[in-house]
Amino acid sequence: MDMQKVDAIIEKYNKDETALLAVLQDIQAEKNYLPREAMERVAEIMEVPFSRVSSLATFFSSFSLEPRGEHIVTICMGTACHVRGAPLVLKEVERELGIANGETTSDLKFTIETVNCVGACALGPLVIIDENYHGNISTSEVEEMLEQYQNPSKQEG
Amino acid sequence: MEIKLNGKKVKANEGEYILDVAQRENIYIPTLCDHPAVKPTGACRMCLVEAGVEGRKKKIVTSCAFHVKQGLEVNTDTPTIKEARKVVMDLLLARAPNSESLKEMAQKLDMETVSTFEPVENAGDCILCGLCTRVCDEVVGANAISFNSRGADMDVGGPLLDVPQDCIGCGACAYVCPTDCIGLKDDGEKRYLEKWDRELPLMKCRECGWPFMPAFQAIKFNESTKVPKDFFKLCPDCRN
Amino acid sequence: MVKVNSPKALEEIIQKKKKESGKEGTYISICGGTGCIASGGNGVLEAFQEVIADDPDVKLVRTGCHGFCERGPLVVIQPQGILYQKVKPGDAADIYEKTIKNGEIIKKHLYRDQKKQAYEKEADVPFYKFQKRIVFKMNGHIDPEKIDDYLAMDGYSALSKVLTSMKPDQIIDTVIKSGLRGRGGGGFPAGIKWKSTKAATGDKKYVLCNADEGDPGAFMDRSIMEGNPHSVIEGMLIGAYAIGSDEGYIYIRNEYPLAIKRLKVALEQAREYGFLGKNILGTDFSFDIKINRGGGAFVCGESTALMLSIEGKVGRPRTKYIHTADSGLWDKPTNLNNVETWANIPHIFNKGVDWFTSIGTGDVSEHPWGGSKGTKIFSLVGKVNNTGLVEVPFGITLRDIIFKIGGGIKNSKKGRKFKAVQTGGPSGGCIPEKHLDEPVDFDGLTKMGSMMGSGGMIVMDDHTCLVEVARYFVDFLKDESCGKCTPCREGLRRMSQILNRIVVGEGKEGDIELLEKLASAMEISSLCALGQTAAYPVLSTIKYFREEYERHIKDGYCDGKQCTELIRYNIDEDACTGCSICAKKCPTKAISGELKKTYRIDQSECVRCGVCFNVCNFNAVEILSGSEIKEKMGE
Repeated sequence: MDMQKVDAIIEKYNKDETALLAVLQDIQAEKNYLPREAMERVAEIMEVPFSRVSSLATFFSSFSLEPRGEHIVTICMGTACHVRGAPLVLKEVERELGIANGETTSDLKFTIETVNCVGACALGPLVIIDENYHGNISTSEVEEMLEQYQNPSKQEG
Repeated sequence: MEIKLNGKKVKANEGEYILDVAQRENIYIPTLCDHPAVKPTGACRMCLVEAGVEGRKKKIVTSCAFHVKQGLEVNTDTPTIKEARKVVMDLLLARAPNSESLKEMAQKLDMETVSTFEPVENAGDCILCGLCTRVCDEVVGANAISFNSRGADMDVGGPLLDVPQDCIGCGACAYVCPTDCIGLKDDGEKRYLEKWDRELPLMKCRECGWPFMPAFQAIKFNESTKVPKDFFKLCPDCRN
Repeated sequence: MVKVNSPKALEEIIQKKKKESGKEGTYISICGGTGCIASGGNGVLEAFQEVIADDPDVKLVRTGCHGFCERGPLVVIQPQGILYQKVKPGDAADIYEKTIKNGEIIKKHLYRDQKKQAYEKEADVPFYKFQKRIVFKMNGHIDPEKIDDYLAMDGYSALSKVLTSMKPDQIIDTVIKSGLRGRGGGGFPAGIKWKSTKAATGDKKYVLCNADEGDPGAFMDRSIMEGNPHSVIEGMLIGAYAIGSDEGYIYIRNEYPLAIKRLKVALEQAREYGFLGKNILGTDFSFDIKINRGGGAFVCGESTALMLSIEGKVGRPRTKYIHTADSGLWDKPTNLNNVETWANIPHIFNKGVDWFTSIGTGDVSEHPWGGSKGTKIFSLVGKVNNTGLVEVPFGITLRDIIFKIGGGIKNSKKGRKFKAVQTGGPSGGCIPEKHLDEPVDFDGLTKMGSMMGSGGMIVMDDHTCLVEVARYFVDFLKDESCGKCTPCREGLRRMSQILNRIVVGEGKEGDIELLEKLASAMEISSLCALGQTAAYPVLSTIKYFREEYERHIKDGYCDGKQCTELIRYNIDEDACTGCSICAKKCPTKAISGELKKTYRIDQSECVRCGVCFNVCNFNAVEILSGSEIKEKMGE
């Protein structure tokens, strides 16, 4: 990846060691995942052991070490969504896309992820695709919901 | 100061942990993740004891990390403690079913050496106590290995669980490992650390030719100890 | 912006902002919380902006969360307080013409309860009527991105009061006397914590705000930060002054982008006015706050893990034999409270201890553990009609929260009944019907085998399997455990194995006892609260619903008809009218038949998602389990 961007992000936090997590978050926001070379670069410039960068990047669940798809389909697995059927929605999304949770479709179009509550509990079960919230989703609506992203011409706002 | 250990009054010093005093008094407290070279962390949970200042309700604490204080009363083998230790050991035995040191400890605790749980997948001898990472960080300063991931998926190793490139091959991890699971092998030319899959050439003593130390270690120790530049060219025997 | 450099200048600016706010006239409050935005709230806001563009007499306020998320986007016409729910952008013109210009109520936008009764005013809607809103009071009225709105409602006057008229010890004494207990989980008296941190030796002290709201199903802290960030900042300022700290951190989940944005804006505006920075309000007191984003780890809500995380390290808790009040962030004395706790502070100083202690239960005049004072915000979610955030006084009963405010159980017409309510997050417990009339407070919930936690309240109906709920929490914690200590890491792995086999009908005799044994060992031997309390959902469900565990193990029967391996969906031929809706909605096309005749489910294709059951209007779809499957389907 473009190391200048990584350097710029590190620079923004004045190489402050306490900003290590923030630096990694910003790199992921930029690249959609955490490339190994970027982590090595962070370790080198911020003068922290690579082992610590690795520990952090694998400890926090919001980091992905693999490239992710164009659209990230995040199913909320918080308690409220769970009791309203989130596991069934997840299964249906997995079935529809033909991949398991955490995987990316071979055309790099979709990645399925889960999150433990985004605090929109009243709308459960909730699916977030990119930045759009799809609330009160039932299994029979999954196909149509994904269709909007499969086929961009039909995509709403 | 004076504390009470299982009802007996014993001397203790400011700054000591309960475990230190018990060991001095020859009172057995099982422990796996404690080592005098590093700070206590309280990870393995084998060294649980009940402790509290006289007259107050006792709490269950890890003796490796709890400082003594005047009037402290400690019980190391109450039924609650014994039962908890057995469950913890039972869980560890399923992680490292072949570990001799665990089996030995289990026997001392009057329990079966085979876990009631089925072994974890790809069980080795590692119990994830973290001593290797702590010694690599706190003593050696190489920070070559660390924990990756968390919870039931947590594992120990080099960055991203690859070969640790910062490993200097000093072998401190193998030295402190309570279950002897690192696998350090010297063959005269090379040092190999099996658990980390790290191989390093050994440096030979300028005088006697004994391959006594990996080259990286010499460089690192030269930096950190500030000994003369040629210090590690000689093996400890030839230095004297 | 002019720096407010004295209490007098603050008083003047408050009066000025009150005049400028225009809140005496008509204003439209549009909810801008995450829930309403998710339902299309931004579009509604834009539509109203356009509609009122030429009308100088009407103001728009884009507020934080109103709490009634299920009914969003929410629009309230003030000063009358008319609540319109589920408003669409296309409704804006109509609402402006009819309601705002002519005072006419548009019936179709009103909230209707289960008996179809319509309510005009927000204050009369049962969801709001039985609440007592203190922390949330301003949420529906101020724009969280405008500090002037906060000032116009006497913002920062509590800070001014303590800086000019109170000594740090008096402030701490006031907080102790108020009985304020931590809203984040432990319920530890806030004033006692402050006192310890103030007494700790060291010049440098930190004041932290725990905004890593990790309990799944709880989102009150997010709504406070999104709706009224200055109340948190003001609370922290008062705490910092009392404790003697000049530096604070807010540790917030990265999953809350809107809250982060609004906090950043609020901090910036507070700095511009001089409420943060050097010599605040012209005094010797200096303080500033930084934001630190978490990365998706439940355990980082634990105090030592949170502090390590701020230091840029992995959040694995350490032993707390030396308290964080003495040695916390960077080994300095540190005081940590959560968002809701901090947001209570300004109210206590504005209205006084007597007022605060008049709300709630028990007697805290002797010591702050004597009761539960003030209000608590609960996130009322799950199988209940009115879901959302509710702020209630301590002492209210569970029944009042679930049935009066929550409007009862969803789909009660289809026969669904209350079964249990889960409180306290993953470390809490499931409370059965027999405790519904008991008062809710810190000690009451503990007595019922659960806990307050951060205020999640998940309502479960008879179609919820409590074994499955326990499995859910254990699997959650198994993944969230930091992995450091043996009992938590390995114990949860084993509990998960056992529960996962029970829910697929492969449980063994002795499994319940094994769960209990693991639970008690984990409680006494785990390093931090996550492991110590991890077994509570299991213990509480075994305590109250042991027979359900037994039936899973012995009979392969799921009482909640939820464990997919143990159930079959079946269409009752006599009841089926052949309307075909189930076949249309079935995602796997497992249902076939002929219109106006009966339909059948192909069991080999059925994924047991339950859509057919939910859409059938004739109760023709039945869920079978255990021996019923054999009896009815001959399987």
